[in-house]
Amino acid sequence: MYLSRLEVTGFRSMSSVSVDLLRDVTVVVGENNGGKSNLLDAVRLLTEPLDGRRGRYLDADDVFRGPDCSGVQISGAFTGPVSEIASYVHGMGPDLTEAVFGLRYTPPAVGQLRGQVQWVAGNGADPSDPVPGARERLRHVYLPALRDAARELGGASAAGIQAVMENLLSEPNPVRDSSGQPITREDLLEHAGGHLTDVGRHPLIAAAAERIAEPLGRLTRGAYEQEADLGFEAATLQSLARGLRLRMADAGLEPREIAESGMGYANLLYIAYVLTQLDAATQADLTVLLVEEPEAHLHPPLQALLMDYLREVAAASRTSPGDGEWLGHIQVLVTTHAPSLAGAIDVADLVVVQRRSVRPTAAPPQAAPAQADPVRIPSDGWARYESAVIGVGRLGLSVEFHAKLNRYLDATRSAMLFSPRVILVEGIGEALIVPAAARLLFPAGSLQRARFLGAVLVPIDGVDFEPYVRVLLTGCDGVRIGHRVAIVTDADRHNPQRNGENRINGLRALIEKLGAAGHAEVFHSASTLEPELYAAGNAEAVRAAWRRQKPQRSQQAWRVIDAITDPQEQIMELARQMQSDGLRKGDFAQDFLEAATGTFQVPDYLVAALTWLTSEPAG
Amino acid sequence: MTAPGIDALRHAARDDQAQLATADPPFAVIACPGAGKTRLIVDRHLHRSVPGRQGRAIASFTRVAAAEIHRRCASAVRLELVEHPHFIGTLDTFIWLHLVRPFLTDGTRWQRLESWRDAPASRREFVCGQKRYQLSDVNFAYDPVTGTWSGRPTGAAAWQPRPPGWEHAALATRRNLAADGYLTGDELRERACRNLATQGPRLVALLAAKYAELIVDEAQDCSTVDLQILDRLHRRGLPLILVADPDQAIYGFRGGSTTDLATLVTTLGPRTITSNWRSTTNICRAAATLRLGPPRPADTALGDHHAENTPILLYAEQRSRRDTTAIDFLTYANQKLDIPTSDCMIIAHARGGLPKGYAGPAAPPESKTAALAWAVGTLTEFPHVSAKIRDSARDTLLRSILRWWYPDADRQTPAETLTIHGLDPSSVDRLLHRALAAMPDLDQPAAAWAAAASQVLTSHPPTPAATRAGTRLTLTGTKNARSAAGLPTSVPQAGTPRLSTIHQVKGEAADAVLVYVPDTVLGTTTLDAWRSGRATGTTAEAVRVLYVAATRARRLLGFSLPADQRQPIADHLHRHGVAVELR
Repeated sequence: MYLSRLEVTGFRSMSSVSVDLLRDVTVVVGENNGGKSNLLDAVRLLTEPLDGRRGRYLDADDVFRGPDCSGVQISGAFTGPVSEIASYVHGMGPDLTEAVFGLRYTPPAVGQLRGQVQWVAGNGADPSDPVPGARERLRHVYLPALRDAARELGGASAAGIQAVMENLLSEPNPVRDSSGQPITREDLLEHAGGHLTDVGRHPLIAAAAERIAEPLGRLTRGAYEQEADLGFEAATLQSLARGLRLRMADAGLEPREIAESGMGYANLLYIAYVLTQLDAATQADLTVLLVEEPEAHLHPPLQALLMDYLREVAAASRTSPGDGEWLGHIQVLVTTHAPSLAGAIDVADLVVVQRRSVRPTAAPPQAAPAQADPVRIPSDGWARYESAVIGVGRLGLSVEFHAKLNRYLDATRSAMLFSPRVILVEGIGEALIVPAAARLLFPAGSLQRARFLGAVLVPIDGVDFEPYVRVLLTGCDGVRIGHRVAIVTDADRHNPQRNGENRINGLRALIEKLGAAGHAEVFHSASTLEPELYAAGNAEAVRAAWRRQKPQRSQQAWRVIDAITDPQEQIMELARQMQSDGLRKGDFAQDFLEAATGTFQVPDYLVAALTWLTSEPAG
Repeated sequence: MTAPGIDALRHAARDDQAQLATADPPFAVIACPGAGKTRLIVDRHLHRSVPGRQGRAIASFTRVAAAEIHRRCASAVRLELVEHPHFIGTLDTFIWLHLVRPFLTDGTRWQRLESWRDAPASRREFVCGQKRYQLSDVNFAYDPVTGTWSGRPTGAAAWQPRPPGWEHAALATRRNLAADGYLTGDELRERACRNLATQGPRLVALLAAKYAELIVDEAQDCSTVDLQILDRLHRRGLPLILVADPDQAIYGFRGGSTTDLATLVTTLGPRTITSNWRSTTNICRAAATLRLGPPRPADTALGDHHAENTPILLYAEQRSRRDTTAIDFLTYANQKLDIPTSDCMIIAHARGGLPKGYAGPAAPPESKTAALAWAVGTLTEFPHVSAKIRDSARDTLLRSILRWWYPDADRQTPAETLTIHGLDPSSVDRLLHRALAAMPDLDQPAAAWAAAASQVLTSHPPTPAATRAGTRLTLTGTKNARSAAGLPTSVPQAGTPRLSTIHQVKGEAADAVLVYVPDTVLGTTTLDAWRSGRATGTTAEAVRVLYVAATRARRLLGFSLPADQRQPIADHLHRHGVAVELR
């Protein structure tokens, strides 16, 4: 079974959010402060901590600050085959396909210390949970974003190390000694106890004990004389675990203290240590592994390895023989703002979280219910932003576009999922010229410059814009990933087939069809970027850049071009000549910028695109 | 019987039980009284584990029985056996949880009621022919085949003529309440049947995956609809175990059917237990004479007292002498058998058959003020009344308080009123106790008591801001409040025997049991049937009620019989080898 849907209302940045989760791994991506962690927290509140130590409670500050919001509601739907969800039949609705469990939190009323939590199993027609014990077997393990692995792996890890040893001792296939005999708890404790006694007999320790015993003897001999001795704590798994520290080094070298290892590997060691807790997942039906920003301090290949490992853990949990008392299923939920992680997984497994302005509500503030805690939230303290969640899997993309996006969305292009403001361009030429143009158009410190820097520029290396437009602009429950998407392309009018015009019209029709007018605009050159730069008044820089790449060929071409008097026709000829020359556009753009020495005339269609992109707040 | 003999019998009986505790389902256990049915179920639960991820459902008819299984699992330090994924509870709750609750629709305030007695005060009665009737005095029956309801009067109303349109009015009142979300056991069963008809295969597939087996205790109390539901669950793949004693089927008036039970028992495969660990051999023999149909040998007494041969005591019944009879019986138990009075039980088919001096408070009077006085008296002066009467008194007190403050209280159940006004049940509970402690002495004149009680209610608001609804307490007449409330004037002392109707003590036992059979038409026909061994319908059920009564006794059993029936019954018992003594 798995947590297939999470619905959150009135919780932190989430006014009302519904998200579909995948059976094995779901990756939640999005900008900072978008609300990714809140999704994880919702699961932490909805399910039991695997080790029984709850680290997250609801309090009044968790309630979304909105006029219609009087409390928090979190509910989760759990789905699976009949044999897996049958235990939870009391939480099902009339179609008997999923079990829903939820909690409703009401913050404390004036003068009250504690709020109230009410659990509901089922569709809410009977607002209670008649079998609260059942939820015990729906659990989570939380792996927080790592800041200081060395500290986390210090003394605090003893309980975990002890648990690992306990698990090893209770496994059906026990650890064996060199003679093949299974190792028991007694073996270990006897072994450790013997050595500790030996160490305790060291002359220096004996001398130290005597030093302490001597005054004690004098102090007590008038009453009941006492003796003192120094010895190690009796050997138990607990005391041994307390003395152990995780150490690490490159393979083949003597392991050292964590503090001496690189931060990234220390983090991986910490992750490995937390993952040992998942051994206990066999004592639950479902354990949701919540991983927050695993990319911290990890370079991209390590991130990909980690994702692969998590996916394997989840898949393996479902192939276990299933003869245990509980299902032991593991489901993974990861938050990240690393495009490389997002790019490493199936696009359908992605859930995008973003901020958007709170939609105006129909009810004026004074119409808020009187019970809605009038004191705690002043009316002018209402939230201006809320989280919106879009599951890519919910967008209904066709198999074809789904496959294309999986190919297209690499580590770089996945960045477009992290910002509601996106500018899609054809290739490397635009990718170099557009940022330079923005610097020229928008002075440093201006709002528009800031907005441009917050946008994501995606060169798609071609003209197949449609998959990108679909994933960014398809609406789902009234929200879409892209809020302001500028598409910059070429009309290619120099091209006899005239297919550029068709493409532009097709994109505009698509935007219309997706109901995204106002969220996206197509901006285009008449021919291509380079002739437009020429036409905009940058003739010298264009000549210089072309000459640098093709000294002979460009001179011949200019002779033909300069002979044409009609400026429009001249541009078209320039486009044709550059095309037949096989111009390397990236090199050209770099040479152009160098020749222009920092300043040039920005073609009108780029001015229009950049102005539109940065003119309004996104979201 | 020599000592090795009994040991061998006991050994064999334990072997049989152990075998049943581990046998593969399905089957039906037909167990005699005192056979240790609960122990059998608990043993099975403790020792026959179910496959991983599955649970066992154990459904009984009373919360007391479910609590007993809970308690025994807890004392075996196997608490995991009473938790998810296992189910231990009443059959009503089993049906509610699995067959009804998932299918409820949003937008209605659904409320489960034990009976229509718990419905809102103003909605649980109906008027027909200018007379008021209580919904709780109607036996409703749902026919899953036709999908229709019928209603028959029960209790005192059963003997009175009904005006035309009576059933129509009763059914309409029930239908309105059901439409507003009030669900008694009957409504649960109707919904369960409908849901099984529409979603049966998937629902039962889920239940069969969740539970390795469903055990239904006291299955002889199943109604026809219950049996149809169980049959359907079983046929679709949920392994079923019934534990029943058809001789103890005493809820036929609520729609039980011994023939339907027999059919299902045959399908499942009957296993019979005739070892009685409770009663003496003499009591077992006497009880055997109360079984209708072809004669069967008496059950084998195996308990600690099996060899005691105290005779069955037969008294001549006379309404005015009931107290004297009770005193003689209790003295006999005390002096001859060293049985303390607290281990004695005095029972009759109906409360009216019990000795008045011991009977204590029965049902609340109709007047709301008198009912409040009755509740106060019952709660403060009669600590030994049955849980049912205690609950009724508590409910009456709570309703009086809520009515005092909330004008709509009588149109809601107390639970609804608490929810609507945001009252915390535990605070209300404390309020109830404070108000009860402050209530005036019941020995003062009725009118004065009502005035003082009004002040108490007024000074105990449920919330500081509550305002009075405007209801009043009125008691008139020259009597004191106690007699206006119909409370007995003499209060029995501590150590009083357990007094109850026979239906209330089902499943329980006492060292000494005295059964009153009043000199009524029903009493006489019942005794005739006892002697002839033949009866049908109501009379057959009345005989089974007597059988339940007789089989409660461990060591001493007495009957108070109409004078002209005493000797014939004595002869009848004697013929069957039962020792009797006329007192």
